[in-house]
Amino acid sequence: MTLQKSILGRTWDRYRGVIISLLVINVFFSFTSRYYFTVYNIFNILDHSSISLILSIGMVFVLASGGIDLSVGSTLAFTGIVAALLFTAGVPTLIAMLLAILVGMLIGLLNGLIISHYKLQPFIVTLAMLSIVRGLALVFSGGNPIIGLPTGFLKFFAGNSLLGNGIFIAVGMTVLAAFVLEKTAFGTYVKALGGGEEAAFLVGVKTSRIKICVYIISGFCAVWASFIFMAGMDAAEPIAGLTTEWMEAIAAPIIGGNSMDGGKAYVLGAVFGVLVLSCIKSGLNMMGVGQHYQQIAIGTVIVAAVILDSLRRKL
Amino acid sequence: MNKLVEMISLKKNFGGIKALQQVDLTINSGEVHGLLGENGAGKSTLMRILCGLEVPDEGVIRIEGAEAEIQKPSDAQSLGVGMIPQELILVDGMTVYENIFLGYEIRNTLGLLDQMRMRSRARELLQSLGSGDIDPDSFVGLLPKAEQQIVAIARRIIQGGKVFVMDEPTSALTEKETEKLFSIIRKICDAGNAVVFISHRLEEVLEICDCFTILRDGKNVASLRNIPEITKKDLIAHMIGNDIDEEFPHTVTTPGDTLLEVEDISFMTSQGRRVEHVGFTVCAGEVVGITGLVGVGKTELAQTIMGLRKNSGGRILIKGKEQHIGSPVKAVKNGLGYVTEDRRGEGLVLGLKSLYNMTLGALSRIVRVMVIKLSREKKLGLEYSSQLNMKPEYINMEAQKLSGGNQQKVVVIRQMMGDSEVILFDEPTKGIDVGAKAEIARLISSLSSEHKGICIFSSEPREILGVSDRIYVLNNQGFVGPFRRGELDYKKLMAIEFGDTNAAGVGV
Amino acid sequence: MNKSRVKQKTKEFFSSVYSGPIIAILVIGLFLTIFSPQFLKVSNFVNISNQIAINIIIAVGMTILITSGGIDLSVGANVALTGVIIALYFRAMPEGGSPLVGILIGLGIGALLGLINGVVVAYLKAPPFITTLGTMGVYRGFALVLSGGRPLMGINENFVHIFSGFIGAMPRQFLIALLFTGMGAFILNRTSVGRIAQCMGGNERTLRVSGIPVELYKILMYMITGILAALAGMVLTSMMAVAEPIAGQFYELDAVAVVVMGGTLLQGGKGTVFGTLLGAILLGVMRNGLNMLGVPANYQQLFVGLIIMIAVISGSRRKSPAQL
Repeated sequence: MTLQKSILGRTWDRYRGVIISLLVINVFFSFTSRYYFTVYNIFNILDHSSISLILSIGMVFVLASGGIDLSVGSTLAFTGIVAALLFTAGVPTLIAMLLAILVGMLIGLLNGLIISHYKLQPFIVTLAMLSIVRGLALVFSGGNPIIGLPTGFLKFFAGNSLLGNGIFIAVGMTVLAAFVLEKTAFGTYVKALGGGEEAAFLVGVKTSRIKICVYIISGFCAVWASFIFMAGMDAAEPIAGLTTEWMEAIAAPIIGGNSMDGGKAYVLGAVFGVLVLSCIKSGLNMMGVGQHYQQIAIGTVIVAAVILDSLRRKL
Repeated sequence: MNKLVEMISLKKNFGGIKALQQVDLTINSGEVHGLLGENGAGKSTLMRILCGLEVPDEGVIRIEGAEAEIQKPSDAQSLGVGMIPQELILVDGMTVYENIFLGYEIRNTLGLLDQMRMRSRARELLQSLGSGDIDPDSFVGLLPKAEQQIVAIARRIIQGGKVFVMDEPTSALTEKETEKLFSIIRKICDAGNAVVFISHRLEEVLEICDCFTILRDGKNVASLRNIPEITKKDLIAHMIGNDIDEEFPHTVTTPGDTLLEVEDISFMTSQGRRVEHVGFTVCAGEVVGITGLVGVGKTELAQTIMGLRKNSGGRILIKGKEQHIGSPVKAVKNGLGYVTEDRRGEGLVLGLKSLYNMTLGALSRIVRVMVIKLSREKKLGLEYSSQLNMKPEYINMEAQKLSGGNQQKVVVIRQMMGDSEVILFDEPTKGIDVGAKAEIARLISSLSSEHKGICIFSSEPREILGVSDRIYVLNNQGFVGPFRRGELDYKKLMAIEFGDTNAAGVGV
Repeated sequence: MNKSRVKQKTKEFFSSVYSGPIIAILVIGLFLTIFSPQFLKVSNFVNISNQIAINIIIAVGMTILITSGGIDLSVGANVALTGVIIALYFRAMPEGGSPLVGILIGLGIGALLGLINGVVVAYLKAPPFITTLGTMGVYRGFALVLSGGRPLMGINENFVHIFSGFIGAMPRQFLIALLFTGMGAFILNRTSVGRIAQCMGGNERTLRVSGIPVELYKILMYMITGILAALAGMVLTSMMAVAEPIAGQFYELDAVAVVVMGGTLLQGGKGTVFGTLLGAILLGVMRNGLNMLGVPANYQQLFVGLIIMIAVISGSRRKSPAQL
């Protein structure tokens, strides 16, 4: 007999590990640098989190279905290049954005189709796609960043104030994602794919269609992340998302309790995971730790998160 | 009362194996229909066809009078027919109500999930099944098996089930839970639906079923109503028939030292039941047969001895010395060998040549400084395969291309090549034709005459009776035996397997 | 009589797994000979063999690992890290150090990096690709940190001579690559380690049930891959006479690509080192062709990606036994 715990109680149960980690990290860094715990820095962290968060939200869908998408970083770069090229070619801003979004969704569609039709492992398909799309980014951009983004675009996403609109878009998408995952049949089926594909298939759920949809969602998210990234950089870079963004997109949900086996769709967990990574990055920056050390740190965190996940599954 | 399901003249072949030869089945509304038969009689094939998991080669299926084309599970579902398999197939990570309504979610006017209504409907439904204490919000993976089963039944009800096919539903249940299940089954049938009850537990079958259909070797042998005069013995007689036409050659060897002693061990079956106080010995040169009904835990027992499963009590002694067998590596080091039941799943690397599969257990014999002497390997392979009447060209073929009988020979050869002194055989002749069965039996005999200790785990009573020097039986009352060769005949053995230990005149 | 034998031999050839890459090489080679005068020159072939040598060394290890059911995406980072550590050693020694010690250090590093990967995958049961994705980041990070983010010069001259230069007309590194291809093929087909690798990829349970210590062998596979990647790192460092912390990027993709192109199944169970060699040659010829035809370097990555995708999809057609 389980007593119905309050929502707060259950949230604590599920996320207490990552919440405590978050607190510990923040306490630690606030001691190492007096600029860490300032309003300015908090806004900074939130702002930079928006990109990772959007990517992670897409990844939550994919992970919940039991898959993985390694190509999000490349999609981010490529759709950015596409949008920038369209912008500089004089295409109206909104149309250019729409086309870029379609391209992102198309990449997701291809991923999903190949995975479900040929019954291949998601990691190798999205790994190959990572290469293809990155290549497309290089080809279309000639290897160079594209500047000259329209001011309206820049203003909307990067903003003048401390906090660009990026974070609000990210939060909005997070809420929407949580809603879809909890309140629609589609969300249930995504989770069923990961937790019990056979059961879902036997009741007539169209499993391949659902699989394709989650990759389209992932591609969709990558485009929005790209918009925010571009606005922040004031340029579209073919090497965007190459370093750590795409790994963070996977690590954050797993830190937050999502599993690579699928079946779980912890949106709030992904949020916490993103915060953990962003705080670590910010804190290390404040300490003057170079980018290189940060890469070690992030890589270690990923390995640790994966080990944690596999241990969790054993228990 | 009307005919819900009519299966007429169904035929199904798998490769060369005739699983069903002209089987008929009629299920009426409101009845609990027992489907009985030995392993391989065709029960599960028949039901898989009904539920859309297989397509028959010939035959007609009528649902409620209308002819039906059932090609996939969702076809069967839409006609109200569905199976609750032994493994239940629920989504462990989801809640009870989510599982119950999977694919049939209740939505509100906006098209969104109406979780409140699903929860309350689930609660109502569980209440009506006498299980109001199951919390709709609890995770199915954490529930005990009996409650998971009720969730599976509830799911079928929501799916609009009219015919509920239950495969071995009581194998993991206690007596109380079984009683509860029976009351649910009666409720379902009182509402005009039907339940097909597949089980080996004849006392239960006699208690709950209104009628029986008994299959043997893919054919109907009996269709009976359940009247008070029918006893277990009658059912068994129908199931086994009188054609014991299988010869199992057997040679007698004087038993030597005790090689393996199992003392009071206990373990968990794959269905979550605990089996305790198992103990027996195996001496050099003898064949010990361990038998029991399907699902009673024989494979798990073998796995526990081999270190593949946790031994939660008792000791294992090899040649008189206690050994802590925590992993198969240890087991093999101590001279134990294991021929698995699941040839394709565990026993063979299907894509590899048979020869390579054979030498897997004896790499040290063909390897010098890590390098494999291919000529020696080939020689060894030919030597052993000729001993077993296996065509020499088979050793170079991929294992998956061989017939079941030859595949089993490959696995057995692996054991022969190894240095095992005690070999555990799990269902050695399962799914193998009669000719190959005799060969394997001969082989087992010859292994024992080489002073190896052989332990056979089998649910085929004829095989056990034919090959063993001593027999133990694992039934729902415990571990019974040993019985010497000749003490038991087929009827007595079956009776003991079904829990009737007085049949042979021996106590527990 | 002769006719039917020829027919049979041709049939055998076409159904063998090598026919694909060989035909592709011949077709592309023919195409390039027609369209590019520079292709059929000895100097060009030397060029190609130079470029594919490193890829081959890594891919040989990767072949054995993938056959056993694993994968290692950290090899590129391994290449860089090994180079950096060896360079640091040479720079730290007053006389420039000894090439032999340098080699031993390099092999040791490779073994260690492989060991870490192997332990996490085998004992902590973490999925190989994501684990090695993480270790890729860690190893790369260490390469950057230890080198201060800058290329390191001052590599021991004798060391450089061991791995680069020519023997006759053939580049040394290519000969080394061929040597290890031979060793790799031998290991996979003629040793117990290779046999166990094939079984592990095909059906791990069978090995376990037969009493073979599966975890230990898994770790061994990763260590082999690590050592070979480190070797490739040493070769690269010699060729360039400098250790770059950003070296080796995408080497893991190239390695996986040629392994898959060569006919080794990604799910494991069936592997061919010779096929990998063919795959590497094919990729090298294709890249060379693109260069000859004046295709800009930017297209190369797109290209490799498409190759992997096509190879993986067509590989799925040859279903693995478990799916039957």
